[in-house]
Amino acid sequence: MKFGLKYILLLVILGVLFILDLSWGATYIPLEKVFGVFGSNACVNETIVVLGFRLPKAIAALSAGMALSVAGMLMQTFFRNPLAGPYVLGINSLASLAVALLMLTAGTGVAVIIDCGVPFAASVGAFAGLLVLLSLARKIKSSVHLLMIGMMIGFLASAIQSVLEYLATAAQVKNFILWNMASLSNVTEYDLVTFFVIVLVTCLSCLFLIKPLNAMLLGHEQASLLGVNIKVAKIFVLLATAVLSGVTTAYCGPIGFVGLAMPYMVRVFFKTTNHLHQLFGCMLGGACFMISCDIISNLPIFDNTLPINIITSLFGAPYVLWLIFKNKASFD
Amino acid sequence: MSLGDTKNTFQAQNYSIGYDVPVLQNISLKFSSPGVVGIIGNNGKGKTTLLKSLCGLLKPSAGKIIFNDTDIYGITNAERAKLVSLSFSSNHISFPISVYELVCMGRYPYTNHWAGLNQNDKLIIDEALELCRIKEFKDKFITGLSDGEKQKVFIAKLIAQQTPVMLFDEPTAFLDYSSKKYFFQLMQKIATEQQKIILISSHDIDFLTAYTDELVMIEDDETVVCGTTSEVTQSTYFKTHFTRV
Repeated sequence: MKFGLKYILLLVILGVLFILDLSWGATYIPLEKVFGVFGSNACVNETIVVLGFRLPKAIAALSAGMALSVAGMLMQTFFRNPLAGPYVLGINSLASLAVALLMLTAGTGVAVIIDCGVPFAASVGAFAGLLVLLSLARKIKSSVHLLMIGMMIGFLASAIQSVLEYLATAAQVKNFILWNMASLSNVTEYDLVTFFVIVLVTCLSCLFLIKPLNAMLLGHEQASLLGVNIKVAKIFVLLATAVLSGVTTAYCGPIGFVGLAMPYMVRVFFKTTNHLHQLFGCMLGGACFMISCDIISNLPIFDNTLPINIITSLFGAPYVLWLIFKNKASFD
Repeated sequence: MSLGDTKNTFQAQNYSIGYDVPVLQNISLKFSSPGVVGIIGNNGKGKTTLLKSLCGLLKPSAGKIIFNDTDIYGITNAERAKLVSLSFSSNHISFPISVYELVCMGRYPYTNHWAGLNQNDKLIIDEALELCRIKEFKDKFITGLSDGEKQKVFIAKLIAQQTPVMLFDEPTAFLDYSSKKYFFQLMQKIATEQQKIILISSHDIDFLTAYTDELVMIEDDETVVCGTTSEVTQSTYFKTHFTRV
């Protein structure tokens, strides 16, 4: 299949999934009524459900899927390691730690402060993670060492988080665990525009990194010999990753798996490592995957909405395993 | 006039290199096009360090590296990538890049942000694939190739980069006998037809002595000897270390 057809296929799938996400949920709303909501003869209840709840959630899923997939792609290329992802760099871990500090140490009567402060704390944590990485990237040339340092930061942040959980009250721990499972419903309508615009602009700005990213697959020295200003490229790749994973953690919580698996799925689907196709593939594929997970998490067979992190791994991991075995021969 | 039509010179002037401890000190080398130059020396004596330094990856602690009148450490990576290129001795790739995509990267110094190729780039890439006899597997992924096939792909990438100075670090380590012979013949042909300066570090002494115009020999005490191939092969150090008897 030619690249154009693959893009069309992904766009069609994304459109269908987006509409299904508006239609399916705890209450089924037929498609004609979903479309009717955008018209003049809309029913009030359905308008509230579709426009007030499901549409923001679908846009949040789309944004989070794009952001995490592209962040994963950037990290895997930067470290030349298909196992890298936003998580392994410690950016998400520090964002989670900052939220843990807020949620697990604040008094029980400050729920409003916590609600408002979580995106802020996550952003501060992600930004701190970025600063640590940028300063290390200037001194440490080896990507493997940088990857290991990122992992150690992650372990350290998790350990501190565990101590905080141990010392916190049961109610505080419950709230934090729920946040840790991630949710797409917490993004307010005002934040949604900011979230979507930041993700879209950051993803599209990666178009200027296509050549450096392609060359980085051969190693940073080889990239340098092909004319890439590797110091500048490194800073922009890390900056874009921190923005994408930080803003997603800030608004939706720490969503795992997508950043690790989606770049692989896109490589298998497009059968190329050219980052022009990888970038658009990750944006479209990540959005499709996240919206699919959102649909599954809201199916009426479950009594409540399942946390998104459970769905991404529960349904995504077997699919990736199947892809690996199916494509092993053709990728060798 | 293009670079390929002129007589080029590539020289190292009183330069010293090394990581924490100096490896090679106060060396002066001068090469002119067309020329195939072999670099020989025992393991760990600084052949790779010398090549990395000559291509702009490892700044010398003293002295300069000059191409014609240009100090290669005084220009940007993008400018340098059009003058000097290097093929590494080992190339570990974890991602399934196709052979064609990898050879295309040789044109990166000449392309835009999106690495778009024009008709001329495509012709150069096709020619490089043919010269290295890898056209029949250009759609295969690099991860599925043998070490020898991978080496040919990286040689093709360097040919596609079309720099007036081409550096190879052990390019024939994984090649079979006939491919080694073909590689050295090809380098001679390219150097002569396109006015290139080609430096090849290798342990294939027989091929180097047969196909190079000059030899750079790094001795055990890190003395660097440079001369015509026939001069260097007559030296006592060469006879002691690089001949069978």
